[in-house]
Amino acid sequence: MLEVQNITVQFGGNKVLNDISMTFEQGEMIGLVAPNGTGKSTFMNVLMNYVKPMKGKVVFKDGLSYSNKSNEVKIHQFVSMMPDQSDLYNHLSGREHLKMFATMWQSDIKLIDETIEALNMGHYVNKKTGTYSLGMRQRLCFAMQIVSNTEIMMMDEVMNGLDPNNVEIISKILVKKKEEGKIIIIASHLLDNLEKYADRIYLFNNGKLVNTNQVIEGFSQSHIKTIRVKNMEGNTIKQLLELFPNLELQTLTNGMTLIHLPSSEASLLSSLTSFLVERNVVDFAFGKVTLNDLYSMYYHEDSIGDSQLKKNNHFNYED
Amino acid sequence: MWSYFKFEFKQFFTNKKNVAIYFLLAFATFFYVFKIAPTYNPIERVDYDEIEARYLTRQEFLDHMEGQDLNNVHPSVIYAIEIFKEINPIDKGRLDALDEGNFKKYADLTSDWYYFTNSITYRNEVFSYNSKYFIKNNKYAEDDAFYAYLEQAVRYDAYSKADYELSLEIFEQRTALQTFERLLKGVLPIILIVCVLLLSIDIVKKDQRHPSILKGFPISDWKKLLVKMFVALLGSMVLFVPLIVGVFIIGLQSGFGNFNLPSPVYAAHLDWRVDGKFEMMTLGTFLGQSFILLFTWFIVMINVVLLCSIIFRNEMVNFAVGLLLIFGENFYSSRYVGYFWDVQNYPTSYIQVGQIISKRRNFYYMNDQLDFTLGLQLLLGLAGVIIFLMILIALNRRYKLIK
Repeated sequence: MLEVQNITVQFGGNKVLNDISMTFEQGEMIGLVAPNGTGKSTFMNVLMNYVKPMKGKVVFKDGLSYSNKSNEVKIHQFVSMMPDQSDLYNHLSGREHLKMFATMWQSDIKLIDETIEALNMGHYVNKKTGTYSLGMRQRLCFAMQIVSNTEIMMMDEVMNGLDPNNVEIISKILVKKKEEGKIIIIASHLLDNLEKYADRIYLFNNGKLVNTNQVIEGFSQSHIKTIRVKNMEGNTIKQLLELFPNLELQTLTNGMTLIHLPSSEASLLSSLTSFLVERNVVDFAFGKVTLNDLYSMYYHEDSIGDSQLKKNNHFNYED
Repeated sequence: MWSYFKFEFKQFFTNKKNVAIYFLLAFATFFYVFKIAPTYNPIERVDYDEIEARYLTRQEFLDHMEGQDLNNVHPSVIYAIEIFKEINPIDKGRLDALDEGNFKKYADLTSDWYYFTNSITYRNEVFSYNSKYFIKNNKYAEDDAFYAYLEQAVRYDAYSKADYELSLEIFEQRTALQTFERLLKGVLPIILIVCVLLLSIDIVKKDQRHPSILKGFPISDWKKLLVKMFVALLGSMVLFVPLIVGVFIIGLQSGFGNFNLPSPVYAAHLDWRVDGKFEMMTLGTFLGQSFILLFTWFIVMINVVLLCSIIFRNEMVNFAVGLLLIFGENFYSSRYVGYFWDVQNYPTSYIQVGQIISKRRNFYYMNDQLDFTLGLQLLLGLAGVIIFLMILIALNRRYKLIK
């Protein structure tokens, strides 16, 4: 268990984290999503006690908190954060890095070879990290945290520089770790991936952590709530609203138009499909608002002119 | 903690800068062993030809003066005859001893020779010490020669009572252990302490290049610092490896010597006319005490670097403070200044490790208080205070070793 209690962090006049309280349970994977510089890393740094909050505290199992240096050591025995690939020792091999983490956390040494195999690192792990590509370094950093085998793992931009295959491999390992009962907190810009695996996803807004389910009700549920149409023309949108006045529409900065459905009745879906096909609109999909859409809606509100979005979680189409 | 020790140990010995320091020291050692040591030319040599030349000249003079009326001669001639009559039998005995290969007899007579020669030469306008003392405008050359003669006298006295085999190499202090002794009385301690400063200078700062790897290690900052100190100390001990190899090579060239060889210690309280000015210490004791004092200096230097690192987080500051400690003595060091100032209370006065043990520094400063035990107490006290401050800072809840 990890409980964040009223954490506030302020740099100068800027409140990066503003009175954040929440609880993470064992076996949960938490996603943190936000543009750069909005507080994701600061939040993780507070959880690691790298940054001292001005207010509030972080409480771990058995009521442990960063109240003194001795507790910090105890907490760091079961909480770890993925290292940054730029911090690797270029003169050491990947295996030496893994040994370093395994011995430092006194985890099972067998984990080293298992992780190397799981991440397909065998062909380069014995070479010096100075020769590694970004993706290789990133995988090594991930592997280092995996071999530390702590109960709580935090990863900032874990998928950076990875090809889709490796993203999938890492995701599967994360799922396995989650199933082992670990709390995994991930900050990532690979939103599709995060959406696929995270149990809860939080967006950062003005120093607050906002659950995606709060932004859009039932975001994490798998119901047909939206039709996502690519590059829909203004004329078509106008006609659609005339024919279906109960619909709410929103066009995002990425060119995606979201048609929010009041219900998922078959007749409505059928009528809408006919409407779109008749107007030669073929690039559309039924489903729900994706995390990508949500991100676009949430962090590009000015460009779509929807300033109400974050305030009342309600979408209005503006022509 | 063991894991962290292994990690730091590996870091230390794979650090390119540290490897370079070991390499340079090894290079300097071998250069010394093969180029400098063989050409060592001590002022006080066993020079048969020189002894013979002096002896014959004096004997010729004595033979010439034999039977002459000395009533009308200059007083200095009478003085010379008196002195030559004293010293020539000694020199004759020395030459005979060398011819016979009887080194004990040579040592015994040479001890007498130094005592006698010193007594007639010191502050005497007629006689002069070996001219090699009078170099580099040394105002205190006569005092230095006085010191050297009395030291030689004690040395040879000890040789005359030796129960080990003597050799010319031993007399001229060319054996491996004696070479080490000479070096410890010279620049070697400073070279080693500078090496320790350079080895440890980045032991904290290097971590700043890998913060995300190291910050989360489940070990407290004060333990990290202690481990770093221990590793740096071990690293400092490795500095002795090339030196030991060098000593071994010199041993093969000139003999190893032994730990029972004499190593005179200046004794300010003795009256030089009656008791000489030196007490005897074995070479083993000298090397042992030198090592202890040197090791204590290593501890002080490493902890100074650690403390500066956690306060200033700048390698240049570490370097500056370290150099200040090593060369701080030069700010007040002056011949006989210890008579006026309590230099014995400054830890920096103990940097010339070999000269502290042999108390040559006491002679230099004209200070009776400079002493191995006091130096050890001061340096250990200093190290203790530094370690205490370091741990106090590291235990502070707001302090982060790695930012």
